[in-house]
Amino acid sequence: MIGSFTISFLIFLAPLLLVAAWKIRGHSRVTAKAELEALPFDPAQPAAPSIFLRHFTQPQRVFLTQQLKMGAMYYTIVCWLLLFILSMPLFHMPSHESKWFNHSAFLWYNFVTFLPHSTQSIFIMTISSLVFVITPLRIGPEARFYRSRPLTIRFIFWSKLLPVFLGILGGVTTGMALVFVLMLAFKGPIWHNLPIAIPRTLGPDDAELPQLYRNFLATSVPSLLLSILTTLSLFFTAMLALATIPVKRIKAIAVIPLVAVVVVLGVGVLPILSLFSNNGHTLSWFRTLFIYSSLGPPPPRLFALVPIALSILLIAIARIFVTRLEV
Amino acid sequence: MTTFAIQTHALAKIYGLGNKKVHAVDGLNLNVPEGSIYGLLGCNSAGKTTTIRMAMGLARPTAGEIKVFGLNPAVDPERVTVLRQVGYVPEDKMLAALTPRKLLELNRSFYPETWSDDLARKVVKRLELPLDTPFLKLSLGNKTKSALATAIAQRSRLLILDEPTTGLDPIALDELLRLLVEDCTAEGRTIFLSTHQLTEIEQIADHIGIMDRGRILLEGPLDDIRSSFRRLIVTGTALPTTNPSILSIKQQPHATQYILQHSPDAFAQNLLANGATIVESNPMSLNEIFLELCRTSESREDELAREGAAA
Repeated sequence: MIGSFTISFLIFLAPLLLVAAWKIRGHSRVTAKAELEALPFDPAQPAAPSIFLRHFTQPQRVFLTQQLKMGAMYYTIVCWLLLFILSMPLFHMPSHESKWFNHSAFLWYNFVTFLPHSTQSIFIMTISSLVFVITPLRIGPEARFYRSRPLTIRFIFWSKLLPVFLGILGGVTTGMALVFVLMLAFKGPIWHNLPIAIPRTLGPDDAELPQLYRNFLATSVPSLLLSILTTLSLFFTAMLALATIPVKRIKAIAVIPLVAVVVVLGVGVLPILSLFSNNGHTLSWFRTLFIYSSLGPPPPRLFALVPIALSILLIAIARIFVTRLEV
Repeated sequence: MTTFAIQTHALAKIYGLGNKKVHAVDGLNLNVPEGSIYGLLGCNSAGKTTTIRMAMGLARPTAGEIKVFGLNPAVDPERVTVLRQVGYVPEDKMLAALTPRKLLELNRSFYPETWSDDLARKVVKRLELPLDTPFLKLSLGNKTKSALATAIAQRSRLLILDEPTTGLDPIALDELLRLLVEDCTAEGRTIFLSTHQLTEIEQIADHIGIMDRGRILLEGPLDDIRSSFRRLIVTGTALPTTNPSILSIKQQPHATQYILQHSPDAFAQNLLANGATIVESNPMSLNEIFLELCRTSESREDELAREGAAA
């Protein structure tokens, strides 16, 4: 029997798969027709550039257009991913709602605790996107092709990095904003309707509930969302700097274990973060890095500048590394 | 005055660290005249591809310098100026697009000032390149043809081809050589190619460089090289064993074989003057010159290694 999770997952995948299948089908048809008819090489003249692209040279425009499409794709997927995951608790009520005796509190609690789950998915997404950023910078025929075209390494680096990076961050932000809009539209401002204490008698199994509820009430969702963005940036840029270390020329085949390692790391990073965040000793540097992955009072917002500064530093390091890369 | 498309001076490239150091290029001095078809020859691991990668700015020299049209290809913005003038076929013929057509279209947009659609069509037709076969289904020869068509249609001032004959059948190879001579050397363009196809390169190249273990063993106009090498079969007594002209000596049952690499006529005159008899005097093909140089270099390296070990 198909479980509700499977159905949800299929609902999530369905539009993505449909779009992918439609694109592949269209491309295969065009290619098959062209192959059959042995059409001559007769390329269309390039379209007039947009106002933004007009500032660039023709080779830069070609490369940048490709990367902007890639960034738009990541923006759409991340946005859809977040919208899907975070809207699940709004429409899918687990059976243990009675624990809270308050629909708004239960809904808000589910939403807040779903954030780390969504973040984990975004981390995996970030890792996979990083592969698309790194590959043309250092690995295989794509790297050799673009590094031997008349484009500065600086331009290649920023054109690869910014559309994907900003696409992911933009996708996260838009996804979250859309979830709030959905929540407002269907459930109203539920965060205004939270009881200040648990409105029921506590039983013997509820020993941890008062503390959990206090932490829940103290949780700042704006800080949580800001933390997702800053932690994501920090993680992305740290992996970028690591992946661009100019130690050795990497062959395409060597990417597979590398990808496996980073995906495992990406999958495991959130549970590891949660584990460490419960440890009083390490909590201080988590606060410093504005990593806010469990319920409770948020770190001071000013600390968000630390991961932002570190991300900028890591990008600067990656930029230096990329100049020294050999492909 | 000769101007050079590529020049290197004491160029070196070392991979690895400590005991695992590999001297891929070791003090290379190369001069590729503009307008020439320059064949860079060498055994496997001679350093040809590394040299080409440094010329394309894909690898950074450990020491020495490399200039392409007098510019440093490793550092922007000079690198971009170099790449605007260079067409490149890498050793690895993997493609960065889904089909040859897509690859041509992609590359076309990078060189709007020099690209020729007519030339692209001509190369596609003559090499019989299937334009719409997906990359995964393409044979090695067709991948090579795609890379060649892409680079040739650029009409660059310099064409750098790393093993451009990989996977090509004899007909395609013949067409390629014709294309290179007829279309690519027009307008004073330079072709710099590394290959193992010595017979074919001998047909089209006017300059040759032979590399071994990261160093240049021989460089110059092909005609000069051919005329400076000679095989002599000699009989007589008290034959010389050391002379700047001698590349190698081989004792045969009733004669001595000399391979000469400088002033063979003067050497032969000297032999005759000393009472020797020249039984045979033959010019050498590029293939023979290449093999002889590589073998001699190898035996000298072995000798040096033995001396080093003994010391």
